[in-house]
Amino acid sequence: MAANNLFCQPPGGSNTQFHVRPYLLFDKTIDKHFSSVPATGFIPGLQLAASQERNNLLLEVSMRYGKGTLSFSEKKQLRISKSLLTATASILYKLNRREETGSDLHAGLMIDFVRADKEYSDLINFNTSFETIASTSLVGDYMIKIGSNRPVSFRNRAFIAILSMYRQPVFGSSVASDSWSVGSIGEVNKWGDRFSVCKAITERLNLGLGYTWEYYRLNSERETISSMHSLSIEILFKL
Amino acid sequence: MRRIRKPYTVISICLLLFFAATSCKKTLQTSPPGTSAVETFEELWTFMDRHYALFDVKQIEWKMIYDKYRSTVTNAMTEAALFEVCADMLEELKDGHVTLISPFKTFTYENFYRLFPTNFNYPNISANYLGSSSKVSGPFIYTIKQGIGYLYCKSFRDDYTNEDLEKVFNELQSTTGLILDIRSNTGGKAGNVNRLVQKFLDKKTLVKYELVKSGPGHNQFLLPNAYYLEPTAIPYSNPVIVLTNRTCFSACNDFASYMNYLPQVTILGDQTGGGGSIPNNYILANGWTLQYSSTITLSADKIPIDAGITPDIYLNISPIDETNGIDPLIEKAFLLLK
Repeated sequence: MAANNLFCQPPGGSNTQFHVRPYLLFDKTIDKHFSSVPATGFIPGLQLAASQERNNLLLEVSMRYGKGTLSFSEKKQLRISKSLLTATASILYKLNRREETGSDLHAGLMIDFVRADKEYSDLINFNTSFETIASTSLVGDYMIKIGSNRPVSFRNRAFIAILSMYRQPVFGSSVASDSWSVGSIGEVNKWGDRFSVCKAITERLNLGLGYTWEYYRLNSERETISSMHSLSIEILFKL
Repeated sequence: MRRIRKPYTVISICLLLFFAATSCKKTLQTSPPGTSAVETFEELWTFMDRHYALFDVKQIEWKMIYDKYRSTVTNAMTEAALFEVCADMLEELKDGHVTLISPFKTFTYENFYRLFPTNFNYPNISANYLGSSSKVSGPFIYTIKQGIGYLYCKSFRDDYTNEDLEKVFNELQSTTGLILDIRSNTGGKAGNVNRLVQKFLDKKTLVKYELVKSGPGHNQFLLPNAYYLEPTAIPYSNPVIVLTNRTCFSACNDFASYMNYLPQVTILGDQTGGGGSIPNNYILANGWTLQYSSTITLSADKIPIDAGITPDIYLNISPIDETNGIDPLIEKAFLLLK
């Protein structure tokens, strides 16, 4: 989902970076059209991102895709194929920099698009579902670099969606609804938090690990909840 | 702003905030319903209340049924006893598409055919009507006698190829009439139905309307969606008599409904078993699987077909005929087509 932007920052040099982020995501989904029982499973995937720092602005775009299989705890034999596509664009303003601690504080806005497709292949007839969510979120980002030349960076970023548009199938079928719905907090709850740690390996390469927790809930007549934990390897190139 | 001197303090604060946020997920996430007897009953009733499509068609007061059965459910009852109560409640719907499956028992409403004569005896047909000259192609068994074709379609479940179908109709094209037997065909896939119906169409034809639920209200539906079928290259245009019984259900019921509107077709036998809806599944919190009717199907003239298709000519097989190996429906169809 969202909050998947930049977390590793090189110690200096070029202000344009490219990120490759293979990840393994543990997903817990409830789609009440099919069951109130959570379906869980792993979704491997890849995220690509690019960022640029200009003056006091941090601009980022990212795209992520993964596909995996979930199952019900009560019905292990029932498989759910789920794919997850996300795209984000964010603009963050540098609120504060403390040179003596190597820390940065950013805040800004993020626009993100999430498309989740689910296929309950062992169930009959209308056995597919999806949700498409486009949101505007508030983002807070704190990063701190440590070490003598500050080769290691820790970063934490949180976001919360404040206004979203979403689309799901019609209440009683798998066919997409003709219209989009608009919802703010309460109707569409979507937020996430990400923590990462990176180390500069060379002048142009950083490596690290990231952990993300993401959550969304559509409080629609076709209620859907998804809670995701993902572990990623962070590979950052300075261009 | 207070100056933070130690970077590790900041990291610690970040980590604390991070784990505080992520640990909230249990309170943010809706818990699945419990699996006590009362909770299971409530979950089943509520899901059906919101998703079952045929309450108004069947004129069923679902709340009254809740009142009737809810008082019999207690958390002290066994799972088997709860299953019986749930099955009894679902039986009130008299819907062959409603099924409840537990690890120890399955409920399916079957009285749509069990309460009526079978009107079908395949061993008799095989021995006395198909004989050794019959041929098989996919799910079709067929023969030609005295210039009249007999085609038995046992199911719409198994996919068949266009070659299977062409092989049958290449031979039947020479007949002056066709007996199309769909008795005891309990349904299957819409695509298999459509391809067979298309062999009898000479123009694009409206075959049905489908009503899909647009919300949880009993009468909340989208506008009827019209379905048309296109003809195939060489349609079969001679008279056709379709043989039906009460076990012709679901997709077979659709087939009878589509054919019923074609001018060259006569329906002969008993009323079909109904099942005019698209069934869907739901997994209850305790692991039981529910199947329910999720749509309403209307005929080409917008009449619900859930109660079955009425034949043009009613005819049953008497026990004496059956004992003597005679199928009066086939006999009558031959007479009409001669």
